[in-house]
Amino acid sequence: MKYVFKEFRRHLGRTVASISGYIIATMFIILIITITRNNEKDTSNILKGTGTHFIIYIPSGVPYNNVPFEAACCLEPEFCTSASTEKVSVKNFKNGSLYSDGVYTKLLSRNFLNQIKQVKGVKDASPYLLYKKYEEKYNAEITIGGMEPNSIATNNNVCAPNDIIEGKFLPSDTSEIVAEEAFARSFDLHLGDTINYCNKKLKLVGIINSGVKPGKADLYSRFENLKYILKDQLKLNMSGFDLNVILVEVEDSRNQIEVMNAIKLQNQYASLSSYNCYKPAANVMSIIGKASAISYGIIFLFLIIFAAKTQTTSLMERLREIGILKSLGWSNRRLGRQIIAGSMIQALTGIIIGSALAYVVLLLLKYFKIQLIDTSMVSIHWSQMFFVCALSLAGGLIASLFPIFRIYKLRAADIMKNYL
Amino acid sequence: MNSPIIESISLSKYYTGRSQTIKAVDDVSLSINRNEFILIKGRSGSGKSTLISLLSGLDKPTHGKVLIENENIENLSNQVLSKLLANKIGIIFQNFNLLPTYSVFENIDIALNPGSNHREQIIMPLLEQLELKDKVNFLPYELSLGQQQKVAIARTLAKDPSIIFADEPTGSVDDETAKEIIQHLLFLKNEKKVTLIVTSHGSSFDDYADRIVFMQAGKINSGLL
Repeated sequence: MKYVFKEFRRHLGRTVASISGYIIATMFIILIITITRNNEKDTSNILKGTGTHFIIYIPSGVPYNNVPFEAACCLEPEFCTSASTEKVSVKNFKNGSLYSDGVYTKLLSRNFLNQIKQVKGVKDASPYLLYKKYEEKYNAEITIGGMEPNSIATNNNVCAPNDIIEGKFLPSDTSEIVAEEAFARSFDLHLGDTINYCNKKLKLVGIINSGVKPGKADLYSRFENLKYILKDQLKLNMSGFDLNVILVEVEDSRNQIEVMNAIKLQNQYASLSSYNCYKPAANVMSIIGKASAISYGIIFLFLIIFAAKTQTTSLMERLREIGILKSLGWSNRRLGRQIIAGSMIQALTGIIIGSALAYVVLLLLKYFKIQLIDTSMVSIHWSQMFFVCALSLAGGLIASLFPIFRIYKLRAADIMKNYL
Repeated sequence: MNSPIIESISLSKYYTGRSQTIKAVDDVSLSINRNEFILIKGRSGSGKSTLISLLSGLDKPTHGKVLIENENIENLSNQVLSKLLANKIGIIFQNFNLLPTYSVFENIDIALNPGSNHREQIIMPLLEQLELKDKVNFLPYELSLGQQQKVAIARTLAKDPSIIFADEPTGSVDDETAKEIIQHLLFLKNEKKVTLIVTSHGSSFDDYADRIVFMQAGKINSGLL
């Protein structure tokens, strides 16, 4: 070991250059990885939640979980007797009906909802009642949705508290209701107005603009409130059958297609309706993921090439003395140990200093609240730093294998003849 | 009768160039006895240094084999061959082969086994014997050529070898220093019973060698003193 340090002192300039190389490489790798990981995390968080929602319903006229058709369906017979497995076109909603996506739908059970919740990749699943009825007063078919308000699946598939533009969101009073902005404007409705629906007088307490959502309706109420509002219209006489749409939120848009396929496998008659926004989001995330993996690979390759170049240059400079040492009886193993020790000491020194400098730079970025590439603040991850350190050390080790391999191949006389 | 400590059998070393093959050593069979002082003579380029490299295990022959104490060195692993070079064989080069940025002490120290104890007790008496004690911390370039060769000899002696190969040991030094070097080598042969294989193109060793071998174009011509 004494001669390893002696070697460092002997070629102080080269040693400093080599350690500086490790410092620069480690520092930049940590900075690049931290910044790209941060960027990746931020964009992923946005993209992961893009289009990760869809709704499930079963059109009328298809079998459902071996439950006899009549028992499963609680609607008026004229809406439920079709034996066809195709979606039934809605002609009119004069008498009102549960519906979704323009077709009559069956009631679904809570068991089915629970099954959906258990599907791998499902973040949240929530019950939804969606009903449409022609109201003579307005000369229009009006839809009403009943939902559980504190659910992310509801928020992304129907509406969320922050969509409210006037009044309040989903009141607990059964006589109060929230309307979509477009609906309210169409019929010149304002907060405090009364809406007649299914022979109930409902007070408008909130106006909402939910945007384009798969479970969009004209009016909204809490799930239990809607059951109360529609108690004369719906025959909820089958225990556990009290919803006609399941709202689903998936954990990651990249897994959405797998989740949808899994649900389809569970129930082939289920109709799944999505706006397919998850597809471009998943593609973008996949591209970002691959680009990051490639960039880490390139950086690691650069590190190995750099370290190998440094080690090989050092070896070429030392080749003469390696020949002498071999002639004095130094074995390949002993010389190899010296080279690895030298390489590791240089790499470790460079890595420690480089990591410390990177840490300082990251702290400064945080301290001065400097945002990079419009993402959130840079965060320091020790696991990443340790990963880079391990990577750099591995690079140093791999790099030292090249000169060791050369030493093993060369004989003392060859070296001395050619390099003395 | 003395048993051979080194034996070469049909030893050859060829270098293949672009247009021709150079036979640096060509079919040399040689038997060197224990405690023998053999002088290999010949003109520059006759193959003396290559022969020394082959006999000492520094180089690999194209054909033939070298036996040291009846062991074919070609069959030895690098580890065992290195041990042989570290403990039994000492090589003195014409150009000394000192490490230029290592002090006199360090140049000798690197030849010792890593586990050797009392390194100073080994090195300092040698330096005293070779009149280099006051140069212990000097770098090679601060020494005369003769002193540098003495350091190279001290480095070899520190290992206490039983075989010493000396490739033109007096080739770069003045007559006075050459005499000193010869005396040191003779001392090793007579007192330490070392086997000496020395190459020279001059006649300074002629009077002391037990046997003189002549080399020409890679071949041995004759020789018994």
